[in-house]
Amino acid sequence: MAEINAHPILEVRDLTVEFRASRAWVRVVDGVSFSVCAGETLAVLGESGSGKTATGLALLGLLPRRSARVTGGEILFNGQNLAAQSAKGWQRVRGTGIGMVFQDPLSALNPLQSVGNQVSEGLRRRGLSRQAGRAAAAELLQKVGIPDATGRLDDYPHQFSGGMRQRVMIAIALALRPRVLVADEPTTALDVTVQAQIMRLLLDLQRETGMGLILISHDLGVVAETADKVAIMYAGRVVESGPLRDVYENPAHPYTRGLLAAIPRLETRPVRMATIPGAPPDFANLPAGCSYRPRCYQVAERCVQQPALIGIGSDTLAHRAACHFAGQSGE
Amino acid sequence: MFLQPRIVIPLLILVAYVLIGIFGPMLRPFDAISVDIENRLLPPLSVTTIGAFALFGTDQIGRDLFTEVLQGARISIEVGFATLAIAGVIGVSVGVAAGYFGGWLDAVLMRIADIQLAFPAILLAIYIASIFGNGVANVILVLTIANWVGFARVMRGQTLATLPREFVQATKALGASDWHVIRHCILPACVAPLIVIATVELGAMIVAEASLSFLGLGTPAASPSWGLTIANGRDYLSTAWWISTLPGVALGILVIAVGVLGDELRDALDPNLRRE
Repeated sequence: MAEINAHPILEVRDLTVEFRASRAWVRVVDGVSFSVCAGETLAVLGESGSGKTATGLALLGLLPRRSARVTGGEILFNGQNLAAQSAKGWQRVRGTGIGMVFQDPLSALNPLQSVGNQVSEGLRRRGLSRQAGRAAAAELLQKVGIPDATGRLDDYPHQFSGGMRQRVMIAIALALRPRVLVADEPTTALDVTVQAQIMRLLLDLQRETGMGLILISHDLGVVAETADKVAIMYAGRVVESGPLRDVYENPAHPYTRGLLAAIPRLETRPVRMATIPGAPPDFANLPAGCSYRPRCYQVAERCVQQPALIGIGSDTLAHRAACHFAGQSGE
Repeated sequence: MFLQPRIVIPLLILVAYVLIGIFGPMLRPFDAISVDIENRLLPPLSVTTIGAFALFGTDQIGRDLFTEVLQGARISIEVGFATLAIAGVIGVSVGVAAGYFGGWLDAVLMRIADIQLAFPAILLAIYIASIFGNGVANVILVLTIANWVGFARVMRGQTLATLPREFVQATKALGASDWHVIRHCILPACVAPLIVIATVELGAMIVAEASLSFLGLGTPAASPSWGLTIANGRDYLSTAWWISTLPGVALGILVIAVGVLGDELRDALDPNLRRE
C-alpha cells in the first residue's frame, strides 16, 4: 500500500442527507463519518440503496438541487467545511480538489464531444491552450492505457469499448490532479476481467499521485484487494468501520458478518450460498432503533435503542461497530 | 443519412425559393407596383401591348403577376427567416434558462409563455398594425411574439431531459460553471430538436404572414406579398382565376417542402425513428 499521511485531507463528520419523497423529506444518509488521508484508500461498502452514492455525490455537492439537501454535518477538506460553501466555492473545489469517476462510463461521457476534448476540457477551462490541451490529453490517455492515444483523440465515446471508456473517465478525472478521487462503483458496469485491470490502474495512479481514494462499492471482493480502510453502510448509517484487515477478519456487526459469509468460496465445495434473510428497509419508515433489527439473527430487546458506533478491540478508535453486541460475542 | 431524395428534394425547393427571393425581382424588368390599365387581366402566357411576355398573366390593374410572385417570395422568405431567427433566439434562451435554473425563474417564464399562448395572435396583429401601421418589420414583430413559445417549450423539455444525465454531472464534477455546462452539454443536445421545430415553425410563419397580409394586417400595398395578391384577386376568381391561384400555388409548394423537410430531418436525426 502507498505511503499514508497521518492527517486526513478529507474528513466527513455526521453527514446527514435528505431526499424528497412525494411529500416528506426522507433521511437517506444519517450521521455518516469517515476520513481519508493522502495516499489512502477508503472503501464505502453497502448494498443498493444504503446511501453510499448519495454520500459520494454530497462530497462534491452534486446532489440534485430540487430533490435533495444536506441537513447536517461537515465535509472538511483541508480543514475547510465544504458543506457550508456557495455554488462558486463548489466549482473551485470540484475537479482540482475532489474528482469523481462515475459508475457507467457510457452515460457519464458526453456523447456529442470527442474524447480528446473531454479529457482536456478541464485543463483548457483553466487556461491551457488548445494545442497544449491536446498534448496533455494524449499523454493522459496513454497513461491510463489507451493504445494509440494520439490517434484516438478525435474519436467519440461510442467508438470505445466499456473498459476503454472507463479508462477515459479516469483520465478526465485525473487531468486536474485532484487531491481526493471519489470512484462510485467504477467497475460495476464492466466485465470481470476488465474490472481487475481498472482497479489496478486506479491503484497505480493513486500511488503515483498520492491522492486519497474513496471507493464506493458493493463488491467485497474488489475491496478486499484494494482498500486500506472500509466503512460498511446500512440504511444510511455506517454500521461498521475500521482497517480492512480488522473488519474482514474480525467482523463485529451481524450485517458485516452476513455479507462476508455470503461471499462464495472456491476452496470449499459449493453448497447452498449463504444469504441474509429479508430485504433492505424502506427509508420512509425505518424500524425504530437499529435498522438492521428485522433481519438480525441475534436481535434482542435492547435493539429498539439506536446503538452508537463504539470502538472495539485494542485500538478502540480504529475499528468501530454500531451494535449492542459488538465486542462481546466473539462467535 | 442526409443524402436521400426525401430530404434532398424539399431542400432543393427551399433553396430555390431562397435564391428566387434574393435574386428573382432583379431578373424581371417590370415594376411590381406600376399600374398599366391597357394590359389588365391578361391570362397566363400572354404578350402585353409593349411586347413583353407575361408568363403568369397580369392582375386587375395590369401588373405582371410573375413579377409579383417573385416579389412575394422575397417577402415570405424574409419574414419567415427573420422571425425564425428572432423567435428562435428568444425561445431557446428562455427555454434553456427555465429548464436549467428551474424554481421561480421557470415558473415566471413558463407562465408568461402560457399567457402568450392564450392571447390570439390575430388580435395582437390588429393592435400592432393599428399602433405602428403596416410594414414588414411589424409583421416580423407580431410573428415573433406569437411564435417564441414553441421554441421555449421544446428547449425547456430537452434541457430537463438532458440535465439529469450522468455526463452533465461528470462535467460539473470537473468544476465546470453553469455557463460551461449549458454551452457544452445542454445546447449540443438541443440541436436536433431545434432543427425540427425550426422547420415546422418556418412553414407556420410563412402561412401566418400570408394570412395577415390577406386580412390587410400585413405588408403594405407597396410591397405585395402572396397573401396580399391572393386577397386582391379574390373578386376576380370567376373571370381571372390566375391572380389568386398562382401565388397560392407558390405558397403551397414552399410550405409543403418545408414541412416534408422537417419530418424527414426529424426521422434522420432521431436514431429511434431511423429507417434502414
